[in-house]
Amino acid sequence: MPTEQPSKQLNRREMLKLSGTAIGAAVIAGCAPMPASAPLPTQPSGAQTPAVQVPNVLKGATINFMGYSFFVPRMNEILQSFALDWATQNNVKFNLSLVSTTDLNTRVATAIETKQGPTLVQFTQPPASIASGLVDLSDLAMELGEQQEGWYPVAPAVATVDGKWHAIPMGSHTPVFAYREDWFKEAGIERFPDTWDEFYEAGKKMKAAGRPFGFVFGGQQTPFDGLAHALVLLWSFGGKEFLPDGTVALDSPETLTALDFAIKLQKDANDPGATAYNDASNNQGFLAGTISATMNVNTIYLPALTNNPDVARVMNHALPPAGPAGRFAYQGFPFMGILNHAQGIDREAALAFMTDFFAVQNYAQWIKEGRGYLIPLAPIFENLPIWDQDPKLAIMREVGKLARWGGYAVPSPTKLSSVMVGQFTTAKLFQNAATTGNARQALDETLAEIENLRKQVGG
Amino acid sequence: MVSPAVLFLLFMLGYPFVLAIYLSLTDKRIGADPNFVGLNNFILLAETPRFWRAVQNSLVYTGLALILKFFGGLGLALLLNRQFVGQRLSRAIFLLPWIAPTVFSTLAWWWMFDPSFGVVNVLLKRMGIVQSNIPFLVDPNLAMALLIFVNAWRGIPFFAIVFLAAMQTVSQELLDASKIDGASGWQMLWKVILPLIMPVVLIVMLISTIGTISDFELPFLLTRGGPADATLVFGILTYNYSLESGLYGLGTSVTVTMFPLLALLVIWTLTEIRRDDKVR
Repeated sequence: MPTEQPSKQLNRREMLKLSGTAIGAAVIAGCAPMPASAPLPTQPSGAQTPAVQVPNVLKGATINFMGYSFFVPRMNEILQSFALDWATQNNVKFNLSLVSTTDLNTRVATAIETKQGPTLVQFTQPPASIASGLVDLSDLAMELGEQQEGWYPVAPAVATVDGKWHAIPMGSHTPVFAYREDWFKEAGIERFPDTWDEFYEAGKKMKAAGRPFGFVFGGQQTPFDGLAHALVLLWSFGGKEFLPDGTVALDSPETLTALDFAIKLQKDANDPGATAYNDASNNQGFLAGTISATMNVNTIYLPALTNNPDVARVMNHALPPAGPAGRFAYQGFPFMGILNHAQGIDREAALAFMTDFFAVQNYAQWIKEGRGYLIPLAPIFENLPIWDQDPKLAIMREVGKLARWGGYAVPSPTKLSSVMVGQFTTAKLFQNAATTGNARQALDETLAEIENLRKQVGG
Repeated sequence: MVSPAVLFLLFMLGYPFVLAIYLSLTDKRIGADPNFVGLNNFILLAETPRFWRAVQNSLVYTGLALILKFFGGLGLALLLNRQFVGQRLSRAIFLLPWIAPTVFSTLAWWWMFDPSFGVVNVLLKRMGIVQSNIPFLVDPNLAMALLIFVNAWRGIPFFAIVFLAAMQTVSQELLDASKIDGASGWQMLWKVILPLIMPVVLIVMLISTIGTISDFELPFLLTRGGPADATLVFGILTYNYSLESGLYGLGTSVTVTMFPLLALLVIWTLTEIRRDDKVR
């Protein structure tokens, strides 16, 4: 193999082969420390790759990466360390910028529109809403699928638009209830409520004892938590944002029942401040002992293990309660994608980076550090040593099976459902109802807003 | 000499303004080419309750904040206009809210009034003044009241310092003469000082109105338009549509709807100032 080639002669598929061929077998068992032994396109003697001289085709390329800081610090450390090692070994300039989750999608939108700034990005809105600004990653997704025994159906459902993958999902955030087991027992509640009715009754007791629930009714201030709480409630009462054909289906008796439940929950069982939470409020409230239950990924428990071991010891996790239509969980996704304005060798570099980052061994090393913070979306990761290390986190594997994405009834996010997720429409509906106490008015206003959005984006 | 100034204005003001008008007449979305849709965006807005809520909230926010800033600024200027020990230091201290970065001061307010953990509630409860938390950012009316209060807190020093500067141009002979004629302090303020500084007052009110009605930073940091859209103002709605949803055309049309109102206000203010000049 020649030592020097023009970049055009090494296409992405060849690069994939170089980096990925030896990965599969060595994947899960060891999960050796990632950054140092990452199999890289130009790594001359990686732990798993054959010792071949790989052309230094990416020299001079620049990757401007923008993402958000994951709540599990170790995941950030590994990602950053991997990126810097990878960049050094490939002679690529790698600029890393981490912003807050609430600003991320806005900044991505700005970058797409101005064709400036970051080229490789994380984002949390469904790719359908920004597909025109994203590079087609279908080949990469197919290759990764081959490496990791396929994808769960949810991955192509949320990441593809008209059959093309415009992003690679980095996993799913799927919240469970964190609750104070000791306080529940003190109140005579031996197990976490199995139904919403039981949940309400338990909440009344807890609030009377000065330990209300922190069920998040939030809009813009708390985009992820607000949507998670609202949608789990809506779906389990039989409400849906859409029918499978994409028709808006929020105007239903089931939605109103869910909203009425939210109103009485807020009044009788919840922290009065829960309609003005930001994304950190329920974490802080739980750790400070002002609320007794809330829904989150493991981002209350993991910090508690270190900083509040007394709380970690007496708390536990539970699945969301069931309603008349069943038991549901919500999943939100961080995606990684390449913006269209990345051209030539810069685009090749971004693609090569994604290829290596998502290569099974590397990704597994990264994802397992989250201990359920992100749930992988491929079967090969089911046997990772994530789930059984701590019985209080074992539930993270279960909740993934209940999880749906915003607007899930449509086979794949539409522009309208994507914009609704981006605008936290359903979260704001529940926030409005819980704040005003008027379910019908809140729903009417939301329907008018959705109709407005529908006229803009179609669907 | 005129040409560079005209070019500067055209580039810095004209281009963004014309672009905004153009975008408001299109269905421009992120990464896509715009298509001309005429007045469709404005019709959509007119049919949307959220837009009318934003109009109402913006007017209430601007109107009440302006009143507070006017009276607060006037009162503070009168105080600072007196001779007392530490006068210069006081003037500097009173300017701090206006000088402090909005992000810094607004987040401090948010932290103080957080409904669950805010220090204000903690203090009130410890002092036995209230038994349970006051829902500062939870109750729609209290959230708006707090937003207005913080805006006024930031703006009063600016009003005060401008009013103070204007007051110091009022001739001392005139004030002495009115005193000799038997005018009370109150009469001197309303009949002598205010009419004389009226052009400055009008300009400050105009600048503040424009800044407040299009305010984004403070509502975004404090409430993000919540709860239940109770503090949704033009700036937040524009952000929702343009940047959170990628609907640039619709978002821009929200800002353009402010233009006629502001244009009328500017015309009225400048007319009043000219009339005032002629009377003199």
